[in-house]
Amino acid sequence: MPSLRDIEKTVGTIWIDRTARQWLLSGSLKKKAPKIAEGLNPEVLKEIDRKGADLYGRLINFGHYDLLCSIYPYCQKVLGKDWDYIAEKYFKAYPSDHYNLNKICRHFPVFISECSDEMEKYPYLAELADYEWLELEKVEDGSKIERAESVAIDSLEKISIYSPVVNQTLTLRRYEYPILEMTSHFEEAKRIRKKFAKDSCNVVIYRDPSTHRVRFIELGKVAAAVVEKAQKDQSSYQDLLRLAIELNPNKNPQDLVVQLLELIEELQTDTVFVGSSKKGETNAIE
Amino acid sequence: MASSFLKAKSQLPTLGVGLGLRRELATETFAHSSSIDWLEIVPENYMEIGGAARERLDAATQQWPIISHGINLSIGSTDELNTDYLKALKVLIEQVNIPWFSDHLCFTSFDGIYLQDLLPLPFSKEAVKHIVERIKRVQDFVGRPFLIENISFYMHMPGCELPETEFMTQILEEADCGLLLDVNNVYVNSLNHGFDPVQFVNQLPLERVVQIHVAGHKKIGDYVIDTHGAAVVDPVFDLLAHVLSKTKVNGIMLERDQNFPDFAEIIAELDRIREIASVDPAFQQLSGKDRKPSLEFVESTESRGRELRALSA
Repeated sequence: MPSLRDIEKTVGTIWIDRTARQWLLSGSLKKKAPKIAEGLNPEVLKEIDRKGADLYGRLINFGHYDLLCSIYPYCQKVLGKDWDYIAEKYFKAYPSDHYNLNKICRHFPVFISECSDEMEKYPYLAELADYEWLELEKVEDGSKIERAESVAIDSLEKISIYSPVVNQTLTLRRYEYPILEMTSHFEEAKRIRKKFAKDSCNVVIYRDPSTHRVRFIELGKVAAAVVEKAQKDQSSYQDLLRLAIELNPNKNPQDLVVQLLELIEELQTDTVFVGSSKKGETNAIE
Repeated sequence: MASSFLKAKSQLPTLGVGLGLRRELATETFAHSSSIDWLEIVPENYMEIGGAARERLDAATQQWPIISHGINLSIGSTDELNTDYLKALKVLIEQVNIPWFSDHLCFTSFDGIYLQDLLPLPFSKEAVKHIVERIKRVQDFVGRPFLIENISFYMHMPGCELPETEFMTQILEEADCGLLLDVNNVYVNSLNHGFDPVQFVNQLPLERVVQIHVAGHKKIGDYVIDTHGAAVVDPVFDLLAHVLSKTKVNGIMLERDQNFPDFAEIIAELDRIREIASVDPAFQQLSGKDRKPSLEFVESTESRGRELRALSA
């Protein structure tokens, strides 16, 4: 009698792999087995309820495709009729390896970057997939967003002793394609445009601590550098100001101070920064 | 040997009639809190997860007792028990102070691949031995009473040696755990596999039932599928009444996971379950409990991904 392990592996493979299932359903096990079915237990294969196996297989596949589609709706729009083929290829390359349902789709951006045909036709697709994955990742991110003290940065002393506290869920990406313009288009357009020219952009992606909605904000070069430095080390506002001056050697430093303070206020309002702390201290208030 | 599980059952609270906490139903659930005695969660949707989902759970914890009903413990799998999963489950159970937890008598993974579905097991002696040992380990690790649920299934696995009721009874008694009896699953299986559902439940150790699931199903092609997406039918309510005439339980839960109706229909089904359950004085005392509707419900903001659901297909 076959072991429990043999039964689970053999039936499980038939359920998840369409090629193996079609071979079983074709009626004759004497036909050459596809590679994936080669090591399966012949006794179990003989006993399998084929109709039931087909039902389970179709339902499992449908569940996987529906899930992938719910996370990557824009990629699905771009791929159109090729979607099912890509989804099947994805789950073969990256089998469902996590108990969290949504996390089984986390490798899709890497998978797309490995698909040479799709990358040739739609060179922006891996970036689009990354953007879509980040939305879900931020929704589910287990980090508690710790708000810090709200300090008006209105004196030289405060500029030198306080640092911004960066939203703990924040990721900064530099995309080669105009990702926000593309996603607005996919959201609104009736006829989907599938060609986009390169036009790089910096985008911060994070969860708003009050609404829990995921926000995507495009930042200019200096603003992105400021956020990146603030996230990397606990830089004071003065350090960030120095950075802005270095990046704009031809601008009047006084104007830059005013612009940086305005930027900081905006970033605080948008919860990219969630308060300020004294340099070297972590003083979360929530 | 005396059953420590039955002793533990006698000390568990009677929770009454509950509903699943689902993001699509969350707003209505919070708004109708006086009609719902407790909530059941799928732990995988909250383990190590923050944001709106976590806030919703925290708000629910303020209002109701919460029960955990998992999907991916994969108790019947020949893979090693996933310790990351168990640790995260234990953390959640302790944070929310869940009185008992449950999962399904099935496997959901093999060779590290999660199929995200409840898959039937061969009713074999080897499977009994394997599962008993794993249930004991899970129960010891988590440290709270554990229930196993009968699933609906659409094919018999190769290697079956025992009738399903014998398979379940041996596991329940040898592992000394509880039963989450899904009366809709029994009914669906009785239609698909041709047996008498009343006789089936009579053959189970009903004294081990702590919780009951009630749900709807749908005929699709040649199969009756446990969809959790339709109204509960009379024979399922009748089976519930039959079980309650034989044993005391601590909670009954309505599962509704898709094809959501007007919430009034869900309340009506909860009321009908409550009426059937009122044979037990402990349930009568819970009826009409003065729980005020919550003003601080948490609206769903998730637009991507799916919640894991306890559907067998």
